[in-house]
Amino acid sequence: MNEKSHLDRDLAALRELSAREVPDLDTTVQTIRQHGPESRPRLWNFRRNAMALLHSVRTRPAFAAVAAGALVVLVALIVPVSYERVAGQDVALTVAGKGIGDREIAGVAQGLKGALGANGVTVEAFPGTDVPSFVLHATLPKRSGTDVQRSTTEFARELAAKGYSASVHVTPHRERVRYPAVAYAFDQIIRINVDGKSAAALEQEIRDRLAEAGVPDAHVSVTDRPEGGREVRLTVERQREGDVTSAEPEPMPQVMLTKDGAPLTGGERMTVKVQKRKVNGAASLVVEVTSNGKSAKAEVANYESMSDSALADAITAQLKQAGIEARVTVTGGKVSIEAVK
Amino acid sequence: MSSRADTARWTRLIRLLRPIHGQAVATARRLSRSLHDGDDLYQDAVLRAYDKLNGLRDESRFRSWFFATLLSRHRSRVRRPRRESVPIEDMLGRRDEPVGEDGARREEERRRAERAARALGGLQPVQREAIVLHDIDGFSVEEVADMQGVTVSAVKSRLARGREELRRFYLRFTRESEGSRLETLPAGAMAWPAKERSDE
Repeated sequence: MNEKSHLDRDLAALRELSAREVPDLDTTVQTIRQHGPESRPRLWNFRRNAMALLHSVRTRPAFAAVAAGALVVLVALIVPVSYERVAGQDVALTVAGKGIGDREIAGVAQGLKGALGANGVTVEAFPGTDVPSFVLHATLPKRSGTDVQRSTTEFARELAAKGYSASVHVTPHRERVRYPAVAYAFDQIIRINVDGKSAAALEQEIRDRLAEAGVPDAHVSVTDRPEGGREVRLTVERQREGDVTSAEPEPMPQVMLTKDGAPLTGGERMTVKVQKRKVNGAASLVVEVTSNGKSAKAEVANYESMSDSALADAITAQLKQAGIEARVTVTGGKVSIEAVK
Repeated sequence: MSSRADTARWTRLIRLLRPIHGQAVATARRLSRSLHDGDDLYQDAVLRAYDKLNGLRDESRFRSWFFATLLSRHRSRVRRPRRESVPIEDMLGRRDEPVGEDGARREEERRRAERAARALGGLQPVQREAIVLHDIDGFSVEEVADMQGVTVSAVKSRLARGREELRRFYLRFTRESEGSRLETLPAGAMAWPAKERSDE
């Protein structure tokens, strides 16, 4: 007897035996209903569904990964986070001059309102002994501080031509908002396309976009290297008094340079954060460096009593120990760090 | 307490199930290779069908819809960590010691069914489904494709591979038994496969 006939006969036997003593449908359904969903509390059904879902996820890793990714996206799209964002620009125009009165300042306020396209201007009066001064405040929804600064300065020049003393102060207007996390992420990343832009044009665009994002005082430098390639330097200085460990750090947007729509890759990328701390009279300098995926932190105590070269050597040694080769220069206490090619 | 809507849903399900009940129970047992597990699988499929019944618009498709549900529950069970199975000899009504000629015939039938179940246990779940539905239950390839939710050519491929696996099983068995009578295969050799193969 060959294996095929064994198989056929065995399958026939299985067909025959498995069809015997089948419980009738009504009994089966009765059994199911006794132990089925209707007999169980809602909580049990919820638990059953949750366990089924868990089992389904556990047995399908790819599905689980996709579901987790979708959940993260969903959370990012829906769940709001609270953060500060630049919502516009606060303009403070200080005007002073002999003979300037309520009627004149009303005219100036009207002129400022028209020049900036502001919804309203408030005036604060500081009557001096001989020369009264006024501060005109306006808040503009524009996020570009450069445009606002330019328009206000132009208006101040016109006032100066009329014999008034005028000075301008433009600061980003920050508001605490609650938006989905994805909006926060977009607010924190500045994407700048480098396609076909000269070094100067790119430098100006980075500066403008940072100002728009509430960092008007960034030092930006873009230079073309003689050996090819481009060097982009971005420096932002901040001073803060108080407990630096518990203070909420100021949000700092990240500049992402793109080419053909994709982020630029390759090259040396170095981020340096320098903090000078003074706690109970003891000064310390903390340098945090991130270079091509590696991170290092150097901390130098009593740096004020050290010479520039000694401080540079101390930072270099600590960074090297952490695996980052960098050229550190200190000039008059100002730390500058460059990647070693 | 059942609501009126629940009762109506059960009534509808029973009406649709009645013509295919016996066949579906038998298929569940063949897929599970156990009476106990098969009946349990069938009840599980009925419960799932009840849950999803409101989504069934075309009642003429109930049979393939229900069998697809049965296959889905079968695969879900296969993926779970192996539970203790009731061996097929318990499943197939071995309540009395075989007596006389009729008893011997039944005993041989039981052994054959047991061996077929063991051979099916070595297949991938989707191949086992194809073999059970087509070669044992007599569904057409197109119907199996509809139930498995794949193309006809995929079912043909599963059938070919499954049959080849079964052929190899029987070839091994024939060699091992070295021409001895099939009926003398020792019970110990009929143990369940240690582990199910994963899905395709």
